Amino acid sequence: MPKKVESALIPFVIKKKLKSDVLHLDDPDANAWIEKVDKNWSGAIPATVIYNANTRIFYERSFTYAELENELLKIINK
Amino acid sequence: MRTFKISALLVLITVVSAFTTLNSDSGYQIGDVAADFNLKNVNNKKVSLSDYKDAKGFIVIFTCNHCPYAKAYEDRIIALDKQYKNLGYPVIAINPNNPAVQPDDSFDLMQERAKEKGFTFPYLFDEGQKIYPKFGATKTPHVYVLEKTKAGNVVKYIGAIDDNYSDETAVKTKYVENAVNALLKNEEVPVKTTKAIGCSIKA
Repeated sequence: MPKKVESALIPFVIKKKLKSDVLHLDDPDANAWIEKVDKNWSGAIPATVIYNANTRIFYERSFTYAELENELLKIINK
Repeated sequence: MRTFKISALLVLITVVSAFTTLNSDSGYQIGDVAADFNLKNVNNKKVSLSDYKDAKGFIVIFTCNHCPYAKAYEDRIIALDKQYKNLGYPVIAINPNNPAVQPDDSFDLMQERAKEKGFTFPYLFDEGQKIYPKFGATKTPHVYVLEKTKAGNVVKYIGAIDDNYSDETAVKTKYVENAVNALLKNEEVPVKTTKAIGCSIKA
């Protein structure tokens, strides 16, 4: 949420020591972009897209670390 | 042989996409009749749609305590109820979340939040998480506008409240208001479905 970048997003990135790029989608008209992410996305978060040059898989669900790693490995080893 | 392979592939694609469509479109669609429910309100009394003898329809909103998107819309949900209750379209809010998964959405905390914010509408607890799957709600907030007809409460709009969750003053299109205004004038709802952003329902 745009209003929570300073109070929540940045402190979270620092606390979790995130090394990867973190992009903030600052467009509150969600209906305009939900289907552009994936046509099967209902709009519920958390939502995840894992993709490389050959594969793109969308998930509308929560993951444990192991589940997420497993999905990632499936795509890497494809 | 080659033709056979291609058609086999096509069948596979059709089956996969049919399955996906079924999955994401489960629950009520526009034009479906929504079944009534009987859920506990924050005042401990049970509420059903059939209790509202004079209503012309309902603004059913799946919402909750904990979700930042739901919080961002709280004042707008109160405003919708104040504006449309007297015109025959009261807000009925339902918390679909399981407090065992999301403790902030317990019945006690619902009562507390309703009091704090001065909710003017029923805030119902979907005990056992049985009602939200019938609607096909996937997130909070998630709105279903129903029109009362002889056949039952017909789903007329599904989706977001408006086009700006973050800043009420920057809203350009008020989807729910436009839908209810059209129904009050016996007109076609201009935008029948939108995709709302929100927190996944914690069942």
